[in-house]
Amino acid sequence: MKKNEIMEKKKLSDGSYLFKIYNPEVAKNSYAGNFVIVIAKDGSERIPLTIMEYTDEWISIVIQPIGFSTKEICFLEEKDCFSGIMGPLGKKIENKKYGTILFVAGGIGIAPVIPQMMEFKKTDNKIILIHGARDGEHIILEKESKKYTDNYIICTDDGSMGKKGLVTNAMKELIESGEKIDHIVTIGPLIMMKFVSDLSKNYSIPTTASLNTIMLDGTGMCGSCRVEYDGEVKFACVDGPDMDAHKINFDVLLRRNARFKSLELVNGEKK
Amino acid sequence: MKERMKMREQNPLERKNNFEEVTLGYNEQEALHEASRCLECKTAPCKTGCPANVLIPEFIKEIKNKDFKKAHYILKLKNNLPAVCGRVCPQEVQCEAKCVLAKKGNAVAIGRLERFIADFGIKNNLSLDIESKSNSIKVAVIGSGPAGITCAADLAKEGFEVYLYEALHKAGGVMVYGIPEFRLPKSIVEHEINKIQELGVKLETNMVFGKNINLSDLKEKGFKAVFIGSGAGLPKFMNIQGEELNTCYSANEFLTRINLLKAYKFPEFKTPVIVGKKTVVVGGGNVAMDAARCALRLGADVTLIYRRTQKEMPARVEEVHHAMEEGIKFEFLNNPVRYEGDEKGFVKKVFVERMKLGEPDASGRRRPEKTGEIREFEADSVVVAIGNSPNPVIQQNLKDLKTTKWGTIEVDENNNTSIPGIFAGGDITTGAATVIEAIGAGKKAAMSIVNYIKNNK
Ligand SMILES: Cc1cc2nc3c(=O)[nH]c(=O)nc-3n(C[C@H](O)[C@H](O)[C@H](O)COP(=O)(O)OP(=O)(O)OC[C@H]3O[C@@H](n4cnc5c(N)ncnc54)[C@H](O)[C@@H]3O)c2cc1C
Ligand SMILES: Cc1cc2nc3c(=O)[nH]c(=O)nc-3n(C[C@H](O)[C@H](O)[C@H](O)COP(=O)(O)OP(=O)(O)OC[C@H]3O[C@@H](n4cnc5c(N)ncnc54)[C@H](O)[C@@H]3O)c2cc1C
Ligand code: SF4
Ligand code: SF4
Ligand code: FES
Repeated sequence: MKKNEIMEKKKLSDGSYLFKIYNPEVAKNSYAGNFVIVIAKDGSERIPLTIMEYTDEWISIVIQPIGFSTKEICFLEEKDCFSGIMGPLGKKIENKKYGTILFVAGGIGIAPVIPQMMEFKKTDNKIILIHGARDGEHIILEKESKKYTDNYIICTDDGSMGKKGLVTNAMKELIESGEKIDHIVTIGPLIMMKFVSDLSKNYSIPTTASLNTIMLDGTGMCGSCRVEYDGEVKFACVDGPDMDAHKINFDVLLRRNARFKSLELVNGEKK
Repeated sequence: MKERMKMREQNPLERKNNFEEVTLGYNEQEALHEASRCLECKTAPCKTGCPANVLIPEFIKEIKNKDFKKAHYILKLKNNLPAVCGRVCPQEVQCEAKCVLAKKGNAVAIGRLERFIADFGIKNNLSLDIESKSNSIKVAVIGSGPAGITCAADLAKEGFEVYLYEALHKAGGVMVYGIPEFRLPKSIVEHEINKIQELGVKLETNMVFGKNINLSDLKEKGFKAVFIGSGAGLPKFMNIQGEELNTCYSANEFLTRINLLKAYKFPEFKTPVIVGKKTVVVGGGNVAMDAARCALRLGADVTLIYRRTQKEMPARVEEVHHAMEEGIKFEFLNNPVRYEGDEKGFVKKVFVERMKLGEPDASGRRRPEKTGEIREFEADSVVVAIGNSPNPVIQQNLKDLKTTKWGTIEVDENNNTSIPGIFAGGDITTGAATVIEAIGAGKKAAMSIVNYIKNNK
């Protein structure tokens, strides 16, 4: 097996792909919270992706083809090798017993949530998961989700699976029902994390969000990933990606994540 | 007396539209002319100005003899990267400043001759023909900037089994991600990297020490020593309002997008960069100059803002001169106070405060003082190039490693760190400095490593 070889590629119901990649050096050192920078081919962009599973030999990632570079990656097949995989980057989660941890995941955000649930389960936390998506097809990784949760709540925008409505509705319902929640972890689209964060602030529940900023090196060298955190500048790649949601200026982040929108490639060409 | 030989350059009006090399190098005739000016001084004061003690009159003498191969050999004895140094060394404050002819303002163009010979070596694929017997002792070198490359090469020549680990996907350090193509063609760096691999150095990219390769892994695999040359790559910001705006970049981000990831060839290469019509660059060093000249080549009208005067600028004289020729506007004695953006977060305006020079500070340069007079400039992008701090990743993962209050790794005069068997050199120990100083450190550390291993057998 060659380094960075794709051992397995699987299409998920939402159109995302799961890749199992051979790379013992990365795999051995990985833990929940870590991500890798992936280079599909020579000359490709450097793309940050969360490490979902890790063993002694391989890691898995789940990737959603939303733009040129993520699509380019999804075209790779089993036995192909990535041009480069660098990591594990970012801070590992601090694994301890909080009590009850509520995970609020949006769409593909379930992939980075899985390793965290797995590790937090090991430290005897009660795990509740709210997974929201557009429709039933966009609810992925159910088997894994079931495995690590004590309470697994699905909600969809169109009601085709689970409850109808937004994750924040389900979250409110849960908290109002009297469930004591000690910690919240939210991963998904920025706008969702912003609303989750606003809501949890109202209930004064400490909340961690995983920041998917635009990155280049992933080692603290460029500042592309910088965020406004409690009025200070922090780098999501080294100070995060999991950070205290209540200290993040989401509005700045939303603007910065759209900063290259005008240059998005369509089929490898300028629009 | 003969005049110092000028170097041919691309016309400023043409070159501001391309990323090809600005200076064109000497041809043989020009090199012979320039070499003939060297007096071959017995004391050779020029050598004392070179941090790597390049054998200057010795190699120049061989140019005079037209034995370029021998000149190349002599040059390479002290400097593993002469094609780089010949192009980017601040010669005017190093070797050439000490040349006896410098007093008359007419120093021998040592750097240009160095470049001539180094390019001859590259064109003819010359090697050092050093017979090294492998001793199978493993040494790890972290970081592939000039310090790491030099240390790795010297150790390989001594027969060590050297593994060179680089965090990024391409080797070369600042030489590939920072310094632009038009000043240092990447093919030159690639050539040098290939050469050290021919010497037996095993290069592994995408390897971050402290992340996917650790000290314990290295010990387990039988490594006997480690050299850290991880550079000063942590960008500084000014913490002023508006620095979070979409098109406000650190110089590192801006230059990495353009040089390492080739955003200037977008969409052939897939990494984007946005400069807009007007760019403001903040700073006065080489980094600021490189950023400004890149922005210009991407089509922007560029203004450089520096808080002192031209005299205090740390950038190389030649680079400032080139930048001015290309049409970059300089606003000396100005300092940004805030940036203003549009509703989507893109930079629109830069507010600067006029400064005046006060008393000299610790560096001996006169300190800039505020005047309270604020002006505004239109701009679509800003590049902050006010300096870099040492990379913190390794220090954070090696708690026993002593560091200074500036965050640099502490070393003694032989490049030993506080942990036996771990050595360091280059920008990570000095703070942002020069290529040749990093080379000098890499060389010295290689010697120390040889001695350390000998004594610990
Ligand atoms: C730490 C981290 C972990 C991540 N983990 C995963 C993961 O496990 N699975 C996964 O599918 N994606 C993940 N992402 C997001 C992924 O990196 C982006 O989707 C990808 O960079 C987009 O590249 P593109 O060229 O395909 O799209 P582009 O054409 O660049 O962009 C398409 C759209 O996405 C927006 N965008 C650009 N970059 C990002 C970004 N970094 N994050 C979010 N939106 C972006 C753009 O503004 C645009 O609207 C992660 C990001 C980070 C920072
Ligand atoms: C834009 C710019 C222009 C410059 N212009 C000039 C000039 O004209 N003349 C001149 O003499 N000097 C110039 N300099 C300064 C010069 O480039 C540096 O002093 C020199 O490169 C320092 O060499 P180094 O080997 O110490 O580090 P670097 O060149 O910084 O290389 C360090 C390498 O280590 C890698 N690394 C970091 N952390 C890790 C880790 N944990 N694991 C593995 N690898 C790691 C980095 O990715 C990098 O490749 C310039 C610098 C910049 C930024
Ligand atoms: S390496 Fe630099 S300082 Fe030394 S002789 Fe060459 S140009 Fe001069
Ligand atoms: S000081 Fe100048 S003239 Fe004398 S040997 Fe050195 S380069 Fe030649
Ligand atoms: S991605 Fe470059 S500093 Fe974080």
